[in-house]
Amino acid sequence: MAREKFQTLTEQMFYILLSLRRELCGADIMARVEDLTGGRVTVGPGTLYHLLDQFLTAGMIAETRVEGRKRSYLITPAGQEALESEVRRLRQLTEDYARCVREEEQP
Amino acid sequence: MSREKKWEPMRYAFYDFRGLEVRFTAMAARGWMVESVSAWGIRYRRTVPRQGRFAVTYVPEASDFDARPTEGQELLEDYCAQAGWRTAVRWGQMQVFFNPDPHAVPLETDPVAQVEAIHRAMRRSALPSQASMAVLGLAELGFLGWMLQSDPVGTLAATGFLLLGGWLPMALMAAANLAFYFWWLPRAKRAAAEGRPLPGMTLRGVNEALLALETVMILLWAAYATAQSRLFLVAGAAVAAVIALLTAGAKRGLKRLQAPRWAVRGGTAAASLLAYAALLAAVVALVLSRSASLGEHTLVEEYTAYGMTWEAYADPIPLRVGDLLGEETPEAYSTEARVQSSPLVRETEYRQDRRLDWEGDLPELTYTVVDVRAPFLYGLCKTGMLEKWERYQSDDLPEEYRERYLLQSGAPAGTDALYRRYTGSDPDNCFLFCWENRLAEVRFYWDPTPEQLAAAADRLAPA
Repeated sequence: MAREKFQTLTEQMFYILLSLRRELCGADIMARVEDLTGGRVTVGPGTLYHLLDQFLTAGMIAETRVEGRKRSYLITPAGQEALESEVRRLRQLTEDYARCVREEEQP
Repeated sequence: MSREKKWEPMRYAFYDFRGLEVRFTAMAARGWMVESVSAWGIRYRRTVPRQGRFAVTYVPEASDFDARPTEGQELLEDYCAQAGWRTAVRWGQMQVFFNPDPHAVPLETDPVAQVEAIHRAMRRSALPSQASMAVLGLAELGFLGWMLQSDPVGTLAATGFLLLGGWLPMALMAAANLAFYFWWLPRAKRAAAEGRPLPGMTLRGVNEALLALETVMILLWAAYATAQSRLFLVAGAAVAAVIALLTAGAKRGLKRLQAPRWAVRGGTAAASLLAYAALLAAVVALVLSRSASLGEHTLVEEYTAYGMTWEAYADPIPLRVGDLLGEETPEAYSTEARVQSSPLVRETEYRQDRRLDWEGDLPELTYTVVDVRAPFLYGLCKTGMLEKWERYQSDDLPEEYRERYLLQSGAPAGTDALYRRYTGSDPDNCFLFCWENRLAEVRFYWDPTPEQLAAAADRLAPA
């Protein structure tokens, strides 16, 4: 079910999972995503909360530490698989695009 | 001195986050900061005009019965605080945030996650409650339809049907919100999948129209209700208000005691039921004790006959035994007029009964006059009166016992038609006189002559 739900990842989902390849607390994820994308992608706090909640429910991330109200997370193998699947999908898109353009340019 | 608080009725659907955000932002710019939100309305407090942005989001696992914010809510508030968003209001699953920076990072940046959160929150609370309300409304509508079919005159004349109908706008509101949500949801999911912002979904106009309809129905009811019915309305409204206050007080008290969610929920329900039972008993006792003095009748005296106490009335009635038979002994009778009136139909039942302490046999008279104020309902009312005797007869009833109205030739001058009731093939002394907007069913206690029928028609004809 979870894989079906996250079969394709939005940019926000992708970068949150990507940033959690190393342990981070929730509040630091927003800054990390901005760093990773050079400010191109920003994650709103509501979106961060909802996605962390949904990833936890789907077993794509795990809570690693709770210090007071501060919680840290790390990607799980299921999350890593979702990330890699999305990368394969994106790579397929770019390869399809390149092939199509090549074919059009050939006389 | 200017007001420090402002309240407005809730015209927004629970899931209408954009409508609420726009409203809160506009009100803050005018110097009114949202202070609380409930199913009934929104309260604001006076402040300096504030520029900025509001954002509404939903925490599915939160509840209005929580004594303190859940861990999830605290987590969300921490993330929001980091981005400059401060909590403005919490209402169950709904969280309202304010950010004075109009260029702040939006609270929601992924429409896919946003629509998922909205739907999870809706599934847990708003959908079940709105579906219950809509089903209740449909049941009310069905009941009203059944009443109209079985007794159109009694139903249309009873002001109570306006009150019953008063439920309909509320139920329609729930049904409209529900239907609109399920229309909006696939569009929102499609927009989210395509990376577009979620489409708008405000039903404010529809909700405002239904609230206005509700107000009109209550005002109409109040205008046409009898004194006794008005007492019921006032008592009912008072009971509802007290129950609401006690329930809210119990919930607030339990929350202050930091009771767990199940205890707050159970305690609130118990307080509501207890308050309802106690107040209903008190109001019924009050109404019963005062009902006699609120009647529309002129009580002449109480008298004793056959070992029981009876009441004699002297209500003015338009047609008396004496008008038909030439003479009567007024002191031997009790006359009553009972009116039921709505904007659509006015039904008055008249009786001239022999007092039970009067010796000897005296003729009596019973009749019902129906004025159809809404002409389009005349046919329904006439059919209802014509078929009233047949309606409750069993299919197995032998033909000779069946009661029905049959059209008579030679209707009195001025009437449109005259019907007579028959049992089998035997004529009864019950007649239905028809005029353009009036129907009168008269039950004579003797076999009336054509002249007496003409005199009755003359007396009961519309002015």
